[in-house]
Amino acid sequence: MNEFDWILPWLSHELALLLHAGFLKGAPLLWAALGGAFSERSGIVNIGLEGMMLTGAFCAVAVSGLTGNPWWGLAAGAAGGGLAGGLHAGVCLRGRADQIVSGMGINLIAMGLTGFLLFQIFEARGNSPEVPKLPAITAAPFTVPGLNELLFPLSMLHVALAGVWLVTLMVFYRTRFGLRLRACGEDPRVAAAAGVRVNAYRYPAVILSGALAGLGGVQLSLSDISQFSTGMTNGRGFVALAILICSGWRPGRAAAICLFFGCAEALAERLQGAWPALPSRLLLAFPFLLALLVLSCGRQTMRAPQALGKDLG
Amino acid sequence: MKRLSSLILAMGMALLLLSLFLWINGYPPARVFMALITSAWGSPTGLILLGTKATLLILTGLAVALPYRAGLFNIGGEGQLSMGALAAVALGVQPWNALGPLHGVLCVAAGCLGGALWGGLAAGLKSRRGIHEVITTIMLNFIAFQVVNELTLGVLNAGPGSSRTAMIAGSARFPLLYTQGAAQLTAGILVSIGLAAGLSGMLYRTWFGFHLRAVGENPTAAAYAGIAVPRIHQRAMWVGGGCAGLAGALQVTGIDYTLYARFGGGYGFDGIAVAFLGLGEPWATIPAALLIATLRAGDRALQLDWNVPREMVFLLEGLLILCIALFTRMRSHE
Repeated sequence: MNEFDWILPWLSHELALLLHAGFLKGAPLLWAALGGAFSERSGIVNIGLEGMMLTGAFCAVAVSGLTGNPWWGLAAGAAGGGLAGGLHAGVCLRGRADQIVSGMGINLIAMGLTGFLLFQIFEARGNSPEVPKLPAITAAPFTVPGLNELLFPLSMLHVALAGVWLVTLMVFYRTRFGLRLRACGEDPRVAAAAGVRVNAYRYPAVILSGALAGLGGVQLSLSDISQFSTGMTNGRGFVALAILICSGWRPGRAAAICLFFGCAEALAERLQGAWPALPSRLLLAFPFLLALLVLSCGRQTMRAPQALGKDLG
Repeated sequence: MKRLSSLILAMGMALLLLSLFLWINGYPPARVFMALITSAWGSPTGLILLGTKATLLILTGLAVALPYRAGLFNIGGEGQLSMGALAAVALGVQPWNALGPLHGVLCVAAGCLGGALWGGLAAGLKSRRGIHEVITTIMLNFIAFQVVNELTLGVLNAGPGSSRTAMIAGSARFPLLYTQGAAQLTAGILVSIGLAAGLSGMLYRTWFGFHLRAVGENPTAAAYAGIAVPRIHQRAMWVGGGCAGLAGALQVTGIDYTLYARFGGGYGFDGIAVAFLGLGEPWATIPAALLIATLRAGDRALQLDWNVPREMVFLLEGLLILCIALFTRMRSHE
């Protein structure tokens, strides 16, 4: 019996906890990053992801609170995000306004609207009351040695996210819609010349982008916890956008980077728990610092969609 | 003239949309707007508050407007302001009474420098690493926010249970222009008005301003003409960040005399609205700041008297930015 025998089980236990926490923390980021991928691969910059997440988070809590049914909340979150996405699409595509400016406008509107309506609906400032939340899967329906600790507990939305991620990859790289969508983002003129109606691809892409970001918000407000507080997305939409850029606008890699970000954040929290002397508030800036670092150390050859953010006329 | 008429159209549209929203939610829009205007413009204390808010908004507006003319969209005003405030308070709390007014000058200079460096960081990351300034400035905002929190609640904290730094020394205080009761107006308003006018002059009357506009209008052509585009970008962000940092320093040395944790009441974001309302002209940030300051000076009264949540201001700003983008073709770069 070696006196260091405890290390391996301890380490694997810690690692499993860390990965699990990282997965939970990375999930809202991945929702938004997938949303961003749809919009940006179609050629429309979406800096409004943050606002769309916030809108989704709020709509979900509001509807869940009013109807008492979290599933309606889920639908409302996606719809609210999609509506914000639709606004962005309309302003950029029909109004031909600047895409970054439109995104910032949407962020401000989302901040104002959610704060305003929080008071209107719940008579509350800052935090909403607790509302019915989406069910969590606490116990595994099956037992896999070693993996249970890694995966559970998780929520329905996490399962859905895994599915949506796979579907997104399929759509992007294995369907005609995906090919044409990417063509619109690379060169809308060539796409149009080849008979693709560019806006018929961009509108759904940006609306879907909003809906997915909205689901990221739902994940935060109705699944991780069960209430809304003003500004609760706290920059996650922006971090998701940075992750998307780091991934070279590829949804597959984006998932890996989201997991990395989640784990890094979880690790920071864990370290904070172990050594309270660490500057806890500074650790809250960790994801943003990490995003800056990853971006500035990233390869310079990261290729953006060629027509991303280009003037529409 | 055409730009002005489309600006007015955009403002009208935004107000109309907000009125509609208020009306749907059961508030009388006309009375809400009247209450807002009378609380800001109707009394001497209201006017002083308006002037105080406008002082900061002109500066954060300049922080957006000047880089904008160089083709950069600086949404990091909030972070630059925080870093400026932090630098100012770090020097301000030192017991350097012997320095006299020089102490205050040092604080303000440190504030400008803090903001300028924070802005320059974004420009450096753009030219060296090719990261878009919108992404970096947003990230730097969040980082600055936590840095301020850490220091105001940590090293610089006034004492247990307090959520602010110690008060700054008397010698570091910015001179006052006018006082009435508890309401005070700092001489900072003269500085910010002067700066807005000065930067307008610089933009149209100096080589640097000419180069800056050339880079903003067509960076490729400017580069062919021998203008060092990254250097102009760098300087534009220094100036812009410096303006935001100055706003932070004024907040600390002229208004609060301390720095609170969770600082940054959104002046940085208001600055975007100010710059857009001013169509990117430095001098026009003055009237634009007065307009946004009216909202900011009146929002408390609005919440107390009419039960209208203060978030209404963000909503209106967002609508304004969208409408201006739609009607006047303001872009994130020229």
